[in-house]
Amino acid sequence: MKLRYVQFAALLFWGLQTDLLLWAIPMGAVWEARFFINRRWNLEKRDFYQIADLTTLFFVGLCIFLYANRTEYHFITALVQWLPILFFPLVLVLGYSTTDRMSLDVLFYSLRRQKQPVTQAWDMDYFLFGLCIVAAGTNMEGAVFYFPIAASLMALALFPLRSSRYKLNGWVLAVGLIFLAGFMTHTAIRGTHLELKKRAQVWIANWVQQRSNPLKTQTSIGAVGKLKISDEILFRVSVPDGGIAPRFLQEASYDLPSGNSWAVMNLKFTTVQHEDDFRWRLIDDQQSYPLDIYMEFDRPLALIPIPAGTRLINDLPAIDIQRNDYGAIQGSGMVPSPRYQVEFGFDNQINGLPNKADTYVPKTKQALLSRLIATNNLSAEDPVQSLYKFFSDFRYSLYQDLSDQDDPIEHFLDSSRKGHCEYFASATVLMLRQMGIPARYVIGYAVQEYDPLVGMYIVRQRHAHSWAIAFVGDQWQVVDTTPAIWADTESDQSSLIQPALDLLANLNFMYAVWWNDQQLSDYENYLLFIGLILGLILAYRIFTSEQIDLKPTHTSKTDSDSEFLGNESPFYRLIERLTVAGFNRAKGELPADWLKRIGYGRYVPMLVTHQKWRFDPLGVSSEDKAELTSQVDASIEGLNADLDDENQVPQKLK
Amino acid sequence: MFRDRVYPAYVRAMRPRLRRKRQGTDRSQALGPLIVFCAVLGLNTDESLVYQLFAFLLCAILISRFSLRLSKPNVSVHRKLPNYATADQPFEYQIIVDNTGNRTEADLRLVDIPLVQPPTRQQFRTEAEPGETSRNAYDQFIGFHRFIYLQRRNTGITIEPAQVPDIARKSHVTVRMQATPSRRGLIQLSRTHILHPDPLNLYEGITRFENPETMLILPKRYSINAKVFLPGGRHFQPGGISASWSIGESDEFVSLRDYRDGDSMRKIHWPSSAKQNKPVVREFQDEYFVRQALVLDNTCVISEQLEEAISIAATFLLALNNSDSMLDLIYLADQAEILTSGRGTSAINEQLETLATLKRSDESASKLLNASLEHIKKLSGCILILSGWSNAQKDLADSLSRSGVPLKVFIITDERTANDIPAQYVPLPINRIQEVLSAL
Repeated sequence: MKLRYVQFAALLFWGLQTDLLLWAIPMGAVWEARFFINRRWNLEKRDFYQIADLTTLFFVGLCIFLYANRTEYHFITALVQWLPILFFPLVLVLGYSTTDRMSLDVLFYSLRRQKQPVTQAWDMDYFLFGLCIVAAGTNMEGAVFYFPIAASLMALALFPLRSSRYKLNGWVLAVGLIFLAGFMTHTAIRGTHLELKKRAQVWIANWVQQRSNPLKTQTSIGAVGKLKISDEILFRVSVPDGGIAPRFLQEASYDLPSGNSWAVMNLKFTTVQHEDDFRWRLIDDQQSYPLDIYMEFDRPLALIPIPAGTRLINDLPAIDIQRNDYGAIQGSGMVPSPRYQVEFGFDNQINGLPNKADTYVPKTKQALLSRLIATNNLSAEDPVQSLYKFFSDFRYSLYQDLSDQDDPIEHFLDSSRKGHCEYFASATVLMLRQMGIPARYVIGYAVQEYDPLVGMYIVRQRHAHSWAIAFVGDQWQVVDTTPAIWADTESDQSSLIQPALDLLANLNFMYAVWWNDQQLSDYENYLLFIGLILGLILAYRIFTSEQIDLKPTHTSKTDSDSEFLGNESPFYRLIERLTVAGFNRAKGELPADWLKRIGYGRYVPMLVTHQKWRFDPLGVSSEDKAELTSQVDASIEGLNADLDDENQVPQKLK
Repeated sequence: MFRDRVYPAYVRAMRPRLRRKRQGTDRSQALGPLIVFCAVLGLNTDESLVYQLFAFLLCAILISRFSLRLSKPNVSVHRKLPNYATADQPFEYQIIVDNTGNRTEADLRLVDIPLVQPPTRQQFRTEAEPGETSRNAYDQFIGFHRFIYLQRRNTGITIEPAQVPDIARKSHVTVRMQATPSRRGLIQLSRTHILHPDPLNLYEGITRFENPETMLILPKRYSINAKVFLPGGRHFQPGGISASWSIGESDEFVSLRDYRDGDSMRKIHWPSSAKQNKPVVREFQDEYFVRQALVLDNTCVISEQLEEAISIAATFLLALNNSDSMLDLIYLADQAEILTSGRGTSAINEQLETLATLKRSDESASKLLNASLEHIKKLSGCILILSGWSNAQKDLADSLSRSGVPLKVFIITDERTANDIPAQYVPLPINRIQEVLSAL
């Protein structure tokens, strides 16, 4: 009874904050109806056990559902937002049962096996109330209103529990202080968090380099020791029947070498015009092959891996895409969605025409490059072929040892003659440029591991690759001088449990694809039908189960106050006045003793008349009644005056 | 090994915290998990507003704790204990709370605290909790449940907190406390706490009163039909008993007292029972010239069996005494002791007190036999209670039954040895004592 209306308000608040108002209103209505319906169901422990088990089942189901759809829902937020719905049946059943509090063994399975009876019990009204208030706070909307409303609701819920030790203004003062302090505290928490975040962002930005930046890419060139590579599956590529898989998916290309990284000369991005919603045409050319790429973007701004000859991008979950001169396609406003399609041809048309920077070679490296070209006679009629031949002597290795003084590329070309793809690609670009051929450094992924289980190519983190493109005969041409053995070398390092992890990842992937293809409308009729059947069963069970009518049926009087003789005696007003003033009669204490104890022994004669009124079969005369009434009125007035001036309260009678 | 190591940690962890200034109510205990939940959920203030709720709850807790200091009650307490209580039987006593301050004290709670006695190292090592073998292996290994059980048993009493009615200034009230002793013997009450709430009723401040007092708990008793066990009757009248002025059951009314198991239904004083909402019996001055003996063998090493033997002895003591007897209680201390009650010799209280504080004796049961045989000619009947069934105890039972005095022998056993006991004696399997006694 304590949370009448307050619980309803809390449910509405929760519904408004979490956009679950359609749930909240019926829930609140059913809850408040409790106070109007005088019917309670006589449930046993076993019934509560069953409902608690059902709730647990739903809870686990919800967790699994949310985990499986974690790209659509924020796991914790959604879970907390739905908690009131989840626990509502349990609380409601308790509310409509003849039990007041939920015994803890209903909620905790371990207590059910215990031999001694469980005595602890929870007030589930407050439990639901707390859930609503917390769940309402999981949405960022209404940030201004959340604190005042939540705090007021809390105060209203705490109001009936207040101590009679304090006057009302004491309680109001305490709550007011809590409001004020709470407001200041939460403002401070928010401020601190923002400040920390600002500092952390600066700190992180100084330490972490993004790999896929269209303007600059950091390589591992110059790193000493063994390179760490990961087997994590990044995305999958599906080739429709009769199609052909591209060798590489390009993310971006670069023209400016700077230390151990590559950057671009021309920073300009242009927005690609939509052909349709989620459909962009890059190049007009009918000759094309389709390709499905299953990749989920977890950030709103991301580089999109595509074949270098892409004509068309379709179903990409982006608001806009931009492209630059270097073949980088950047999607903005990306949302998670499992798949996009491309149509491509076997050329390199997304890379723009060469510019001056494409022939730039740092002065410090020119001498070595010229010497190598001269000694190996590389600038013959087919420089690209001769380069392949030159690099065929090199070894692929993820391990590097070099001293601080060495320039890594020179060390690679001149002495160690071993390295990974970034070495090969960087060196190839520089050699080509030294021979007068415009060249660029490209990053992307190699498409080479076919997975028969899902019938698609798998692209892992370690399939990230870099290569060179050379502008030969009026078009860009891939020059990948890295020994073909690189993929095998890297796959040799994968862990033993990788097949198991892959299987899990594949199952998860297949489920995600299946789930994405489901439409709710396919199932609506089934759901409605099942819901109808279950609803009928529930209604039958509810109305046929044992019930107790709270309303007494034997009295014909509607006014329940006039149920005993003498209840109209004015002395009750005096008792009430004394009780309000804080004088409570102890259990079992006689009224006369009580009056004497609290120092109002002078009222005892009135009490005698009052008791005559109530219990004497002969009753009291109307004159006595009138006199008692006037005496009581006078006493209450006197009492009011006394209590205002505390010093006038009589001392206790010895 | 592990027990020895972990013992001091348990003692430290379970020691009552004397310096505590406040305690939480149910509500603050519910707020605890809620505030942790809010803290975790509200950690990222970009994603949820729960941190605002966290701030509110935190301030509510801090302010309500602080406000406890501002409203300490001005009271003093005085406890009034009854002379005796019975193990396993709830009893009531009074605490008088005196308001010495200048305002009405409202919404106070009273908590009376027994002296918490942790088990000794020896106890913790050797004495098992009943049903300990049915606990899981982990619980059995760490022995925490055993520690708790032994500490509760040593402490020996649980007292319900009570609500104090409002006390007008310079006035006092009497609060009735409900307590349940769980063992016989002396128990110690140490402190009384007055708890006052904060305005939100989240926490309660503690006002502490050192209030040490000791009380005696009589052994637990079973209900029996007393007539079954009166082998003698009124025919036997030894001389030398001076304090009698009539023969037979006198109607001399002495007092009223709480019902104890074993009291006859006929003695219940119905008007008082109705008033107090629990059975109350009349006590009469008893006069009779029958002399009976209750021989209690307190040599058993198994404490559970010894306790039961003492309970049975107390049961018979009251059953026999109430109607018509001079009664000798024969037991072993440093030597065999005989304590006689009735006919103005001494009151049955003394015998019950003796039983309440009786310990196991290392003496041999044969001493008990000698004392009983010396005495046996004066007796019209004898009840022998054996706490086990060893050879010495067997010998005691057989010798006494050969002496010719009407004899009843009750033997506390476990289920297994119950079948070895000769038919003329009554075995009392330890878990079914009440059942067997009722069936007699």
